[in-house]
Amino acid sequence: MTTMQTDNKPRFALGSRARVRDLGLSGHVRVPLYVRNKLGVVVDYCGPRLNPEGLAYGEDGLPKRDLYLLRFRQADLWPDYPNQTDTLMIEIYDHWLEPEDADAR
Amino acid sequence: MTGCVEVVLVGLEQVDCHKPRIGLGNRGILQQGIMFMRRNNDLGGQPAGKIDRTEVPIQPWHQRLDAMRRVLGDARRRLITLDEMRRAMEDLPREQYHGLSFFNRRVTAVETILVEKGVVSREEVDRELAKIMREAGGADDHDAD
Repeated sequence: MTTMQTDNKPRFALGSRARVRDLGLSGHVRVPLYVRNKLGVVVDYCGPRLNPEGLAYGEDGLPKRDLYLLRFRQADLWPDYPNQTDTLMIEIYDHWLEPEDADAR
Repeated sequence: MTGCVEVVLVGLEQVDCHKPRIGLGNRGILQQGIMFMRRNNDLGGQPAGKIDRTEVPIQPWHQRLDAMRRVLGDARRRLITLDEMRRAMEDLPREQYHGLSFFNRRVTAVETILVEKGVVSREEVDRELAKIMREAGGADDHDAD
């Protein structure tokens, strides 16, 4: 069994912006479609956690993945959303995230 | 990518996909062109209608089921994780996922996982169930909420 990135500094600093990737994985994942490809702000670091994508299939969930709490503007998530200040917070694992400037979409 | 939500809402077919497999992880990169599928539980942004706020009374079997699940998943046994429960429920056929009650989805998931791991066989469960039904005089209240 291997452990990874448990003692490493988290990749995303609090307050930085990150985009949710669309990994196109089938099966159990914890990333709803409505946040994919959306840009959010990292508001908390929740530590390295066992990966639910493995745990869900009887695997050990290793390597652990860093988990972050991200905040999104509701208006960025839904078309014609009327309120510009409403936000949504959701926890996303590191491998589903990329830095804001990772590549131009 | 703008207008993503609308893309998501249009033309997505449920790919009724994989049989649960233990160990290998039945996940993979979907072929290009299929994009992705919407899992039963991934309902954000979907038309939903009115929310039924009727309180459902807790029944003894609800409590027994929850106690069993926790015991089976405790640090000593580790037979069921919450993540496996979620996966087993999400993998239900769509009509079943949306048709079953909260606790019936869970009891189905517990059965699925225990059968996958060889703790019980489907036949044993069916046999026990038939016996219980016979003893209860054929009354089927399994679906009662």
